[in-house]
Amino acid sequence: MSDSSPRCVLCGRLAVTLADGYCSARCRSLAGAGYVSPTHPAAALAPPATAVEARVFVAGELPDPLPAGCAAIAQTADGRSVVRVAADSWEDLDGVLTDLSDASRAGPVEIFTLQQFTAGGLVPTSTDSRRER
Amino acid sequence: MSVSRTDPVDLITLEIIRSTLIKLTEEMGIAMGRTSHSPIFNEGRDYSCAVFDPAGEMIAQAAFDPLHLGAMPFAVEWALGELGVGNLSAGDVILSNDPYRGGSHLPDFTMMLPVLVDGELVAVCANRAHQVDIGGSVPGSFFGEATEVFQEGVCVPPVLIARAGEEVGDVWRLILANVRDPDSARGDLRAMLGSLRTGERRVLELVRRHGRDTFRAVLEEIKDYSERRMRREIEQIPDGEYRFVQWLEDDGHSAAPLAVAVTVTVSGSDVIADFTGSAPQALGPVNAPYAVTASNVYCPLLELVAPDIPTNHGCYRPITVVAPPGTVVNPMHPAPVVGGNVETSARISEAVMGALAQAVPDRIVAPSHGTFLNLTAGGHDPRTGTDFVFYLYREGGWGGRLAADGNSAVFGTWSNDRQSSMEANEQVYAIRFEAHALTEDSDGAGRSRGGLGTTMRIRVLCPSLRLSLVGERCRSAPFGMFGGLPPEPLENGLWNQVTFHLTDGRSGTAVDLFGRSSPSKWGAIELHEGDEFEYLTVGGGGYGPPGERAASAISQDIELQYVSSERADRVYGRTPARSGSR
Repeated sequence: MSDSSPRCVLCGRLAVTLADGYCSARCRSLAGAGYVSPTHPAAALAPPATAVEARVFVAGELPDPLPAGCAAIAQTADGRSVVRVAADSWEDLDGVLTDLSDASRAGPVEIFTLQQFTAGGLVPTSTDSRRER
Repeated sequence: MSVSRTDPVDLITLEIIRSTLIKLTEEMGIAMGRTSHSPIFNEGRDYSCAVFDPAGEMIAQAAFDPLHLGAMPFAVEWALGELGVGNLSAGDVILSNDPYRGGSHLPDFTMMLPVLVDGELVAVCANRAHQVDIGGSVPGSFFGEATEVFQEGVCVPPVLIARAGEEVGDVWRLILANVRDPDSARGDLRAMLGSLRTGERRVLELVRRHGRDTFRAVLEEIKDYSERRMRREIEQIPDGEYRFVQWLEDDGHSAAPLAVAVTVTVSGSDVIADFTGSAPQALGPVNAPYAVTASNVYCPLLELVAPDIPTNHGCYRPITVVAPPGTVVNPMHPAPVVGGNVETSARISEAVMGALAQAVPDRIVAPSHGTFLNLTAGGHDPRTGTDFVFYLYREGGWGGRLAADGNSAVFGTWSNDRQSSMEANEQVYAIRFEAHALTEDSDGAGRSRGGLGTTMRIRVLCPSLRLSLVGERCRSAPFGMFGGLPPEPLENGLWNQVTFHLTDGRSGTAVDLFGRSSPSKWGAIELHEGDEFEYLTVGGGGYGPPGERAASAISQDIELQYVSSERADRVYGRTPARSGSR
């Protein structure tokens, strides 16, 4: 086995047999319909760099600019924005959420997720890695 | 279940065959559990059994390990395709564990027995089971610092281990020469074989009783029925694109986190889970082969739908999984993968749940402790004069949900395994369990709180024990949902973890004491007689604001010592601070 093995050109799976590069009729059909993979904004893919984070739903128009620590990362099917909020502590997070709520022109801020990391988030420091790639 | 008038099968016959197929997979599992050698089989139940049709599509399964069951079809399809259905004979048995041929990770062997009637393939009985050791760099084959799949053990592409009912001795000798505990491996592999032969007998009885044509027609209808039910359920999810990103903490080498990013697109009765945006494949062993990624899309979707839908290939038909090659969710050979199946899998599942939570929030469970915290070890037992290898993996707490708290001391929602008993492990391995208990205050608070994690403390009873770990969520907590909180960190600022207490008086993690990069992924740390290690898991995330938790539930938590009075005062709104450390 090596990576010269056949992979479906749409879904990427290694398959023992492919037909015209596709592993299934569904993949062929999606390709035929012009399927393009959705992407995520850079702010959604940035590693957590603080101790606490929230994702919140904001209805209506987002304030411009967003308060410090906030980044819009998605939109729900019902038109609400998903905003990622980063802070160094729970108390700071409460403050940022209050700022966001006050600045939002329509609707309340609803908490979706609350997550906690070690201090400084998951971003590597220069001393905590033995073998950097 | 409906059958058109032109179908040759009446409803009663259809239901009898369908139910018998499910029951026979249960019987296959019982046969395997009762005849196996290792505690991971007969205590932990880390195995699954299923029946497939001649095209390699799953037609029946029982309540085994959902992670196995969603991934097995890829291995069966590959084995049938590579060996060729026309080349198989009655009594042949196929074995494979190749993660780049539809497998998940090397310790999971998939064994397949084609069932033939008059030379025609009518079904394939298959099982998948975790071997306690499959060779490689460290005892137990969970090398947290692997950089290639070759370091993770012996790789077996689809080969016949029995031909026309006779074991192929050369293949058995080759495999058993490459594992550390060949006696256990032989016993466990024979249990897998016996399980398949049990299944074969039952399938042949069904075909004899109902005829080949009827049997074939039923298999198709079983899948079509499940597909119809599944599509009806998906249609109830609002159409849209739902995005979510989760994080693997590290790969055992660099401390850089790795994104698992998904966009779930619901359109009518179809779902596409697209992982474009996920991190490039890792140097370390956290890469999830495509089959694992797909299985962890199927699991959360199946958790959302009516539980009486028979789970088979028909359930998977509406779901497409797009995983870009060369990423942590679909690596290129020879990337190491042992942790992809057990750790990245949880992040994938949570990412899909997180995406769908935006569409159907009432049906979602907040994340669990989110790790198997796989610990393997090997040593020499002075009591018996033999070498031994063991594999322990850990239960923790499930997340809270709309109407209930999370369960405590259970494996993740993607597994039906059980914690093997301490007594059974002490009998066969030179270790002693000093403690195993629920951990007070380990839950995430919420209107529905998370279940509790557990603490296990183990003493080494042999001169030398080499331990390895592949885990996650040491440096991050399971998240709380809709106002629910994540579990709080321990005093050292970590969550799931293994800490050592050495006879020379030193205590700490693998980073503190042994200079490893990651507290959750490392290999071959040597302990000595009398040393102890504490093996802790956290609870699940909370669901809903803690301030909305019923006072009676808080009182009961305190009475049962699930939650301390001090913390109850703090997190349930009697003081403003939302978090602290235990």
